Amino acid sequence: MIKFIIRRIIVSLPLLLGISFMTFLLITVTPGNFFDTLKMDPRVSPDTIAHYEKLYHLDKPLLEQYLVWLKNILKFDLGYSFYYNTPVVDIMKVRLWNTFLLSISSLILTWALAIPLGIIMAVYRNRWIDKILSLGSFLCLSVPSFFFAILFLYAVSVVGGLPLGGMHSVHAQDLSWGQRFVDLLRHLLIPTVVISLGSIAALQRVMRGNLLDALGQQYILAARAKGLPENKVIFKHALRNAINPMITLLGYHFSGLLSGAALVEIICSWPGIGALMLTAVRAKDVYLVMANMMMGGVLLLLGNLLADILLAWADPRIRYEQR
Amino acid sequence: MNKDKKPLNQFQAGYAVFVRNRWAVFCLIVLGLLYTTAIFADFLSPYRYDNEDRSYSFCPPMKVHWKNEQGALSRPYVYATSFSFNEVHRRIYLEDKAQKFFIRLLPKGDSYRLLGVIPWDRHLFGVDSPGRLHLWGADSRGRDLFSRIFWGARISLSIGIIGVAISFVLGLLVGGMAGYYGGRVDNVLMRICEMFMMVPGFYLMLALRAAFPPHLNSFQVYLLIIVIFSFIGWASLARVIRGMSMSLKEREYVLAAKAMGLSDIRIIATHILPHTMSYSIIAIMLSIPGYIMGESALSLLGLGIQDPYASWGNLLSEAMGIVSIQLAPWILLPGFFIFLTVICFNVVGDALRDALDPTLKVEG
Amino acid sequence: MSEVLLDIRGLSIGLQQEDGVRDLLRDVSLNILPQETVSLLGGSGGGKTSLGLAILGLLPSAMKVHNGKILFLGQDLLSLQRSSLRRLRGKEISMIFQEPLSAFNPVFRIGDQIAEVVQEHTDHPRAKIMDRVCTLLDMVEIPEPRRVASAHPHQLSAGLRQRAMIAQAIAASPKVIIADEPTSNLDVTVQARIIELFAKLKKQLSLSLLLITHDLGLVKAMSDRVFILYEGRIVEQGNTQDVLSHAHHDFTKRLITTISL
Repeated sequence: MIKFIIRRIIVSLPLLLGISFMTFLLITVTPGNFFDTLKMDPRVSPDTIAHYEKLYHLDKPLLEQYLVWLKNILKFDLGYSFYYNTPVVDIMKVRLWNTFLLSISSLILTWALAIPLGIIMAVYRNRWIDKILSLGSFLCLSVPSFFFAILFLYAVSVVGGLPLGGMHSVHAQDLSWGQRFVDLLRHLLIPTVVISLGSIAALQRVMRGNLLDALGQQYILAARAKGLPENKVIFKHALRNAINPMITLLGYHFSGLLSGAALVEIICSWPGIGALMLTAVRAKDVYLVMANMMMGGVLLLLGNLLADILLAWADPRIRYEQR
Repeated sequence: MNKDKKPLNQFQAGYAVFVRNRWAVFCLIVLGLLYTTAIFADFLSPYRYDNEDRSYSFCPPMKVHWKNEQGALSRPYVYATSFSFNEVHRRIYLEDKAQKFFIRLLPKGDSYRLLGVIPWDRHLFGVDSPGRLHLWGADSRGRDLFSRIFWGARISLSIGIIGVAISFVLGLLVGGMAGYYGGRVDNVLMRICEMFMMVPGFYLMLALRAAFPPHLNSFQVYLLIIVIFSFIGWASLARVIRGMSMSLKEREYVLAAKAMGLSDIRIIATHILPHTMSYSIIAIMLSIPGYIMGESALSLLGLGIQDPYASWGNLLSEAMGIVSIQLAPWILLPGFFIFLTVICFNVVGDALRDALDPTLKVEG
Repeated sequence: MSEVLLDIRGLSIGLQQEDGVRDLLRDVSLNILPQETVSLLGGSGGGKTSLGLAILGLLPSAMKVHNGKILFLGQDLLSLQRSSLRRLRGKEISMIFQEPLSAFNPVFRIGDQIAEVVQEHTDHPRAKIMDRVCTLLDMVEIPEPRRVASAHPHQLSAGLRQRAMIAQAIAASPKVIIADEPTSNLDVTVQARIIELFAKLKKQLSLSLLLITHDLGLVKAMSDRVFILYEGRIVEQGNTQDVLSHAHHDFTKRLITTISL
């Protein structure tokens, strides 16, 4: 198992390298850079600009710049953000945590709702509840997330009760631990719901399909023939088999969240790495953009790795074959 | 059962199944209508997209009256609109019953070129000036939303189609070649694919956009967006096609073609790729919504189509300010159009999948 | 005259298809006495399995009973409440399936699945259930019962699996076991052993067996009486010996010739 993980990571390293180089080229080769705005500012002297350019090796050839950056990465120095005026690592840490928070809460909400709904749809197959949930899930899958975000924000602004953006209330510092937690939850609610909508819809369909497949199996007939009560048949025998293949989805779900959240973060003013990416890109803040891209790739990789590990762990048949 | 029916080929059988699905047919018709309005936007809408009149800023949808003051039926008309300010200095619009403007059929209006070629200036309907007809309201600059939505359809819908087309050509070629040649070619191509697939699409989109100056002329932006989407979409298709190509290349007709000395590209294009058609068609249908939403997202963030041009995405950017929505909820209408288009493509895509091959697992 | 255990009278089952209803069983009557093995012999796909499923009330929704009665110890199973029927399953009448690999749940251990029956239908104290399971496995001549009990279905050989399924079927001491093609997926030597096992268990536990099969050889080896099913109807019945030596119906004659080849 460990060997498997290490091998995967090693294989992905050249890919990450490729991504970083591609990003670097994109940002530096194309017209315009961060200092253009500074250059236009009459208050900033050419000497200052020259000093900064030297500091960040911007006067050296591109390849050298890239290699310098690469060397620093290995020292965990991700470069400096011109826009925020701090080392990239510091901003990324905070923003990464925020996005992580949002992703985890979306993951929890999605699975907590999709599993029961999917079960209901399978057990009451083709009755009116199944049809209504089916229609609902189709609509939720089709609605553009940004549109739903706007609508939801508008609805909340009319009805009230929830904050309309950001992560903390202004006076958060003055609150007790418990109150701060509640405050965080209230801010988390809208972006979480918006992000989760599509995934709940998709996952519940998978749950329904899997459970129906499982219920059609011979061992379910045998279980009924044994005289087991129906709820045991469904929840013990069928469900276990239905959920197994979905465990790997957890990993893919997680990796997809991190990039899918970006647009919603921006609209709901949630300070995560998605929102950061937009700012960095607008400001052509080279190192920040590159770090973000790399982070995106790494997270995707981790998510896929997690999915494969979960797959191997969940199914006893596969586990035994590997022995 | 009818035992004497001739066996149908895959597409004929698929057509029969598809046509039975009433929702799919309905959605297909709706899509047809949407694309028609896009093509004839200049004729169908009363105004050009950039025709503005600030005195009509955030004008609400106008009520079309069918009965005259005596209560009898009359030709449809709207009243002139006047505005005043309420206590909080917001504009409120009132109907000025003193003046009536009849809705005319084929009036003269802003000039344009029908289908890009024929110069004309008649629109399907409109009112004589100084009246203005805002069926769906107006935006902050007094531009007719109805017209802008129709014009916006041009950009939003076309980007979807063209972007998908390029992605798919790329994906088919790369996948077809990788599967067919195998070995090193396959390795290299698939590594590149994985690289593209490893980057979250949204990030790639932003980064690519950022690579170019923020202020390009709109046509360049349009092309750029198409190019960006092509970059994002081709990789996952390429992988699947590669798998199919690998198994197809062992088939007899491929070996026969090789023996006849046909060039590789010819073999790939004429013998292998056509068999991936079912999958490709379904995947195309289910991907278009993603492209449309992607363009909308970019424009929404101000990185896509800019003012004064209209795309459904940048029309929605006005709705980003909550205050605007409270003032003018009709601003949200473009979003519903995006929603409608996506639903239709999804329904048709699902129906196609059921018709052509229900066993295929196609991701949108 | 001992009391009839299972008495099926005039059973008709139909299958709902796209273009109408197809009759699977027409007016089938069959009975089983205590401690006897009765066979239902017919061609594949002839609707034999539906009889077994109908007894336990487990027909798929596409199949429906049109007519007839299924009396178990005098009670009509077809008019029984769902909950009462469920209590019957596994306890009074149990079923063995053709393919034990698919009849066991792949993610649970064999021992746990057999334990389920013990738990559901008997009053065995929790702590002693696994002991009971091992006893059952022992009864079906499985070596190393503890090891087998903690194995997953795919880890066992086909023969062991089938024995385990038999163990599961006898776990609550039923009166009748319905065996649907119990040996068709096993090779001949294993088959013979299973046949011996059935004979032993029948005597030991006073069981009756309803053997549903297309294999005349199996019928010859195991059953006391046989009912021949052809195109949904019972065309011949009686003591196995009598039927085989004095066959009336064409179908029966054809079957006999095929095994003597």
